[in-house]
Amino acid sequence: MINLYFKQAWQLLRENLLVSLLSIAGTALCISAVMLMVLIFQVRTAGYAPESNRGRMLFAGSTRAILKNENHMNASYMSEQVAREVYKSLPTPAAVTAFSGVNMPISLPHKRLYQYVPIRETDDTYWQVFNFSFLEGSAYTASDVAGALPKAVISDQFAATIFGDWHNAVGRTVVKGFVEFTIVGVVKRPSSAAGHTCADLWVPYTTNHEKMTVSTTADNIVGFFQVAILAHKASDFPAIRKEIAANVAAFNTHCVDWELKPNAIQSIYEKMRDPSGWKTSDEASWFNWLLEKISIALIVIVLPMLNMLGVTLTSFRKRRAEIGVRKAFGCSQGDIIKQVLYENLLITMIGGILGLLLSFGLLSICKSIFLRSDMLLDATMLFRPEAFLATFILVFLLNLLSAGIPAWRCSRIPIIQSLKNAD
Amino acid sequence: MIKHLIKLIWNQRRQNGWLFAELFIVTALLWFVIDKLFVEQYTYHQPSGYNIENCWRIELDKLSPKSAGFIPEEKGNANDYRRIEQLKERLMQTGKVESVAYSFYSCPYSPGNSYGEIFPLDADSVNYLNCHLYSVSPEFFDLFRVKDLDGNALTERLRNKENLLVLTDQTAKQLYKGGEAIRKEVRCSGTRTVAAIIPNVKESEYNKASNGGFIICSPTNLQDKIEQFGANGMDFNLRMKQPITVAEMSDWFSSLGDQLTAGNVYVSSFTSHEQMRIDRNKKEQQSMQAYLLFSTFLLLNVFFGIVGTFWLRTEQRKGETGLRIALGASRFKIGTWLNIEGLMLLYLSMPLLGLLILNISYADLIDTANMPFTWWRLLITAGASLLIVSLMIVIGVTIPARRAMKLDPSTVLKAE
Repeated sequence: MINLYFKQAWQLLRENLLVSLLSIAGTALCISAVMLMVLIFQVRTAGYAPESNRGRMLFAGSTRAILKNENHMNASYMSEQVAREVYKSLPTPAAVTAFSGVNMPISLPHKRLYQYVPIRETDDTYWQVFNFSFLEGSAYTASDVAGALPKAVISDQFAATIFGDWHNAVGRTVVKGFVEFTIVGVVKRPSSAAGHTCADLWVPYTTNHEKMTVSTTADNIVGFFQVAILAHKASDFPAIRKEIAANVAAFNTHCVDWELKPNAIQSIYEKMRDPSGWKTSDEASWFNWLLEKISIALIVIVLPMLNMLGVTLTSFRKRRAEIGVRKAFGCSQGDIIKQVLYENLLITMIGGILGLLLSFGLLSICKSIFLRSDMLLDATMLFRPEAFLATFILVFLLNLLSAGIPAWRCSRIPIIQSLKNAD
Repeated sequence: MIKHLIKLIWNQRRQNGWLFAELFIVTALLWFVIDKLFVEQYTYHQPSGYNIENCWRIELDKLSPKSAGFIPEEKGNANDYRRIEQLKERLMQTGKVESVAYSFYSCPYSPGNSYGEIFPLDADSVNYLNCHLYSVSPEFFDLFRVKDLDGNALTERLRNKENLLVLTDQTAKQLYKGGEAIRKEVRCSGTRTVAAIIPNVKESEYNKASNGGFIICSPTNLQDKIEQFGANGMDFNLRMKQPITVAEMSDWFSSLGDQLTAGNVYVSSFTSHEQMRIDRNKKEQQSMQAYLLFSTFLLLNVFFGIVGTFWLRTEQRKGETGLRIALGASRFKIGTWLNIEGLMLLYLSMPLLGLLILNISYADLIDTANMPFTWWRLLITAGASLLIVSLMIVIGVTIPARRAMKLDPSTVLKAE
């Protein structure tokens, strides 16, 4: 029976080329728009080098110091002491890194340069948490960091800019704030979409005296550091959060006037919903996030649906006689509805596949709008089962909405009237 | 004819009801989108108030006590102004620089957001305004080609005078209700005299000009301010005589070498104001592009929907058209009649559309911050959306109608 429906639908499609093309184009547009939203979500949360393990990472950054008994707050990133005592001492995670970012001009020993360069000041575990691909040399070690040795890792792109070629960069010297650093490694430059790792130069944070100085304000709670925690598996997150809470409580016992209060400790999904980390867990819930997105998705779905509804309704006027005949020969109302839905499914399926392809194309064209223009999209980010599942759910939904109403209306017209082909 | 058409529409009200609803929703959506785009484009194309061609912002920094060349006697910020003036002189002597101006988080497209109140001190005024306050040296105006409302240069008139304030046009108008503002006294970080009125300035391209006052820094003020903020807390603005690329600028600075260090103050980096403009607009530009993409999607959809529906409708009425031709209607008249019928369905929805727009504007769902909701804005945006939908209807009706009219009436009638 279903086979017959599809056969008939195919015939109708060929006969009514204009209507079919319009419906297919409408479906394709709708599905490509919604899929674009799904794909952006996928890419934003996907792991890619050097942040390949984002799925089992937790990020902590913005931190509050609250003056006890008074309505006063100091908010910033955390100090080195907090990073060390609260986060780096955690037993459960595979690795924890503390790092901070700065923009500074980097010069050559014999030549001052004046362009800002993004720099990360990190510890040695940074290179375990993030998987950089070293083109040459290696990272600075734990003893380099402990001894505050002026060693640096450089990106291939920046090395090529200042040395002319990255191949001979290892062993050469760059000047950062009047201090000479020796290059020990060259890495491939991360995409600017990789917020925690995108930089051109990496140095041990211990070489920055300002950031290592114990601050006298706010009991040395706030400072310049962010933390990334790499868990063995995502299911460890609750245990890690518990350990952090315990460490925070322990830290607060030796604070005098101030109280440490970290903002949200976020997984990559939480970070996407609330990039600043300032929302309460309620505000940043999936429910609220979806509510915001769904209102856009609704316009994107309802409008093409209305259009297709108009087209299907009009094209059905022609077929009323046919439906009358079928009903006269004993076809039930349900059968008619089923037939119409199956017929329409063919069109929505073709539209759905076209729409999915279109959304891949759109995403790579409009990368600079939604993501970053220098971001490389690869198959693992795009071709995920969620994308296909979402497409099919949408196809069925659209089908039901755009053909359901005309089908129901048609099936209800009395036989005599439909045979007469009158309103 | 109109009466006849209304009767026709009414008789087919079941089918036309759907069409009517579709046209109404689509036109309303289109209006909303067009209104937003219109306001954004209008705001974007308002003059920024500055000319930033060949202008660069130099970032200064201070040597740390550990760096070579640090002068311990000049620790602190007290000597910074003198040293900055030295740097300025050296740069001017190269012959490549047209002028230098100082400002404090106040250059065009800087992220500075210092706000304060301006109180007119006339006896009869109780009016005051919260304004974006800019602190600049007199050279700022000639450097960024800012002139007063009569088109006169400002820098020479402001030089070496104390306690002056320059207002933007809209600020002066609001404070003095169209009356004379120049030479009036106001309270704004001390008592100041309004020295000039300049055209409005925008903070970024996507926001309308905000209320603004420029506090003019005399040499004494500069000394105080630089001592307060340090050399690294100010904008050192340059206007070059010739266009220069980033690479050329780098080479030029490198060739100056030690000349770019004076005492403990040194030139650390540079950015063009054009780059600052791009950075400042980036986020809004992205959301604008996303919105444009969304609008294109919407328009395409509407196009498919409207053209498709009317096309089918016209094709299905071949019998009716045939009958009319047979009864002596001219082909041209039938085309017009079909078109007007379609358009009438749209225009009948206008009162409803007007009601909806009124509600939306009352609910403050449209952007009234950047542009007030006036009759001419409504006329342009609603007119444009009606025009677009009308065009789609005409396309959807005319093409199939022409085809239908080429057929022989007898064939059509037989089909019926």
